[in-house]
Amino acid sequence: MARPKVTLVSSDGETFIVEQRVAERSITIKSAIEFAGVDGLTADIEIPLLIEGKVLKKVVEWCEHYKTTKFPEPDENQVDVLSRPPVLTKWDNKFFRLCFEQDMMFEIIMAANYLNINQLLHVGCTTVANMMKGNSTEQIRELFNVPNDFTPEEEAAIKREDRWTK
Amino acid sequence: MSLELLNEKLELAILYFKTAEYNKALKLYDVLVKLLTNLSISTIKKARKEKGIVEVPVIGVCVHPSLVSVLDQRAATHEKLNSLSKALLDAQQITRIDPISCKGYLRIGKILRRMGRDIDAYKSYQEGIYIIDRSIKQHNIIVPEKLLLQLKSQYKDLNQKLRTASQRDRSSSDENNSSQNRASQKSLDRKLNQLLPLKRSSEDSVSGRTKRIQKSGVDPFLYLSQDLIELIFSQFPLNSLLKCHKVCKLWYNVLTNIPALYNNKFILKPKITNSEFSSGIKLIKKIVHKSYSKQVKVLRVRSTVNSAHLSKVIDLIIQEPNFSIQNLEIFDNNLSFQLILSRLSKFSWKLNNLNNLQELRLGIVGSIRNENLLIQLFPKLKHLSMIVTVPELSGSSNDLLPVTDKRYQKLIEISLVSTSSLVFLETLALVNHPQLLRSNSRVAAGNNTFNPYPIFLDKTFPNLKELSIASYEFYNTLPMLGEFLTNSPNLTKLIMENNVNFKLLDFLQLLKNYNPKLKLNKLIFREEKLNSATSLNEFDITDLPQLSSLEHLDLYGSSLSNKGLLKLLRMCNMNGQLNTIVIGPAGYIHFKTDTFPVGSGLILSLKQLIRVAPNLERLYLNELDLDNSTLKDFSRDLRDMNFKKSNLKLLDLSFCVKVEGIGLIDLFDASSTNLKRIAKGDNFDRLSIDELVIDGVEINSQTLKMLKDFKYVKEIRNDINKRKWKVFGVNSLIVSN
Repeated sequence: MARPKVTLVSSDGETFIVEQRVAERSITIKSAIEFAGVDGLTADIEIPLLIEGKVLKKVVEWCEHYKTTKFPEPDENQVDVLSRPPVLTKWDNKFFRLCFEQDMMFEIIMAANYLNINQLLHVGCTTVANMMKGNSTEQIRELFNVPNDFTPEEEAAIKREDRWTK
Repeated sequence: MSLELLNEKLELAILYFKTAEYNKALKLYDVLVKLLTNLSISTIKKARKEKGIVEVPVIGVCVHPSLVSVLDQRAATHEKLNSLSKALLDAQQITRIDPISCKGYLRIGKILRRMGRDIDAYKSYQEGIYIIDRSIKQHNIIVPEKLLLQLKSQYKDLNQKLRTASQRDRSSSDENNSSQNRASQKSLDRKLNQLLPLKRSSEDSVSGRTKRIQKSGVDPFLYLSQDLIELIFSQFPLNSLLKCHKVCKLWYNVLTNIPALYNNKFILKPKITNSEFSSGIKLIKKIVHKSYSKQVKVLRVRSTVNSAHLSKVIDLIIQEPNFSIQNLEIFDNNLSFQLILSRLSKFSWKLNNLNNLQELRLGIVGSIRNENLLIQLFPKLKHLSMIVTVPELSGSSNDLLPVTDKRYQKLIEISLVSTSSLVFLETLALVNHPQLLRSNSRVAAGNNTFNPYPIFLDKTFPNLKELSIASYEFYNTLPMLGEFLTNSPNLTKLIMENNVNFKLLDFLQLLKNYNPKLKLNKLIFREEKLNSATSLNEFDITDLPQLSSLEHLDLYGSSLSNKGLLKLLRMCNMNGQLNTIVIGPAGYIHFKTDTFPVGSGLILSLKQLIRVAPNLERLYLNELDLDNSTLKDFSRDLRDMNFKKSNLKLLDLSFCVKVEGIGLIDLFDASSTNLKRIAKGDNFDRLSIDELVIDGVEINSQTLKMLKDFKYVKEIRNDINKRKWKVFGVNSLIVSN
């Protein structure tokens, strides 16, 4: 018998048929599958997800690419996870560069969080962090299209607040 | 706290509110908010379960199910009491906790409109509708329909109102001349654009799949929950975080609400002024008060602009309200312990923020006086470092002592007779300035000038694990040290550097005579000057059980002979744990070199070292008379031992100035034949280590690159400008800080 397949269904009804190991990149899905049967997956299974099709498509693409890669286990004792940020592969960089819209990037991060795909979550967060690094406040505002809503007085007060550092 | 009790309080508060007893209601709400925000996460999850809602919300922060309504009610109470800004804070708190709370946005809008800030109110409505609509679409979340409709209608009404107002502006500007007209039109357009900050992004979701090449900016703070924001910013250094503070109010509020981002460590810039520090305190307090401990973990003052500012900075550190500090570090060219005492006298010896001090590091001028007061004042200290950075011979800091203060006199009296000690003290570092030694100064040591002798040796610190003493005078003081060591059974690290009248031989004899029950794993003993050679003939190999478990032995500067060194290594490696050896300039230790080729008895070989300490992983041979031929011998020794027997990971040859690139090539046996074999993929046994350090020596960078490329070494450090120990003038303890 062929290996059972997992069908992921997006919130808008799109379906993605994947191998079990691809789906199990997500701890959330993995526990759902474990919940479905103690003897492991014996028949095809359909898992509805609260993720839009276009986002799920990207997430599945990522999981497909890394289906054989072993990532280091997240260390629970480590206080701040990103003190050692993950190394972004060229493929990761391209993967996120192809998200023409930032909201897609954030959607992927939220999906990774919801699906509990630790590596994708960290890679996504690092990508966003890298976008900001080295930029001035004004450049960051432009980057994310955030209006400056401080009054001049408030802005001056905030500037005063960091005179104690370099 | 039980659910009934909570509900009772809540009902009572509502009753007060209904009967217009707002002050009473407010008090109750304050209590409730405090209670609800201090619950453990498991209690919160349980309460949520009981209420039949998910344990962890899809969007927003996981809080007690009643918190949002309590905050809303408190905001309403504040409103009634006309404290609008407080009301606004509560309302904003609601949307922060629960970004899809219609109630929250309605409340914010209402308050802002009462404050006359219609535009802000409009933005808030807009933000709310945007976030809620998106969440409904993406997460199938259900919000109370009635409230959402109310929110939308408020938004529409206000939109209408603002538009009429701006049209009125426009028509009035028509009456002015044309150039002015254009200018004001432009600014009006800009204003309208600002009014609609989210327009583009909401259009995005409507227009759907049309391809755009250009990236469209979307504010991550509107999208992502607080824990994801934390994840993104957790790799930001402080300076970058501060830059992000200035982006907008939302960013500022969210970021300063995540204390974990700031690590609770605050390192001030050098030459800080009093006013810079006091405006910094405001931000530090804001962040720290969100943290669990509500304490500043680390505050580091690197220097102040002058002595007047230093005094004011110290005053702020002591008495700024709600600024409790755990670890305090102050380095300043005007700082003295005497100055701190005089400031404390000014505040009637109320320690305030320093009450829970666990670590104190001071970089001071001149010697410490009345050190026993330290024990009286800071009994909870775990770590204490006193580093004399400026040699003040005159002892003029003593003029600062508050001698006329009766309480001071009393404290001194107590401290002199008291037997109390620092029971929690784990590390003690005493670093004197080399110019404050009897031999080095023109002024005589004394009560009013300086003290060349180490302090605290008459005390007992039962939990002491690490002791460092540098640049002190040990004349007649050794018996005291012997007693001190006997009373420190938990000591595992001992660092003695550059001390006068204290030779390595003295130390070893002290251990033998006093036989303290301690086991060191790290010993650094750097002699101040070369003494007559010693071979340790007077010791039996089992004489020093204190050293038998040593892992790290540092003899940067010693008067040991080859024989003495090997004997000491044997004593230190009784339990086979020695993995790090540092040998510095040593007059009687010689490896074979071109100029010192004499026979076997006088020279030391690497083979001998590794035989005595087979687990050696890190070897530092610094400022020694090694040359290229020594390294060739090293290579032969290692090859004879089959490489596999050596665990060598790090080799440090810094300041061995006769070493050249060719020597390193010989050491690794990186001959052109061998390089060719490696290039062909021939896998033969060869020396390969993790790290090679060769600071202070000029080596051809091509050679180093080759060693790395052919995987002889993983990491190479070669800093030509690195300063030697002692050259800096003081001690490696200071250099490393």
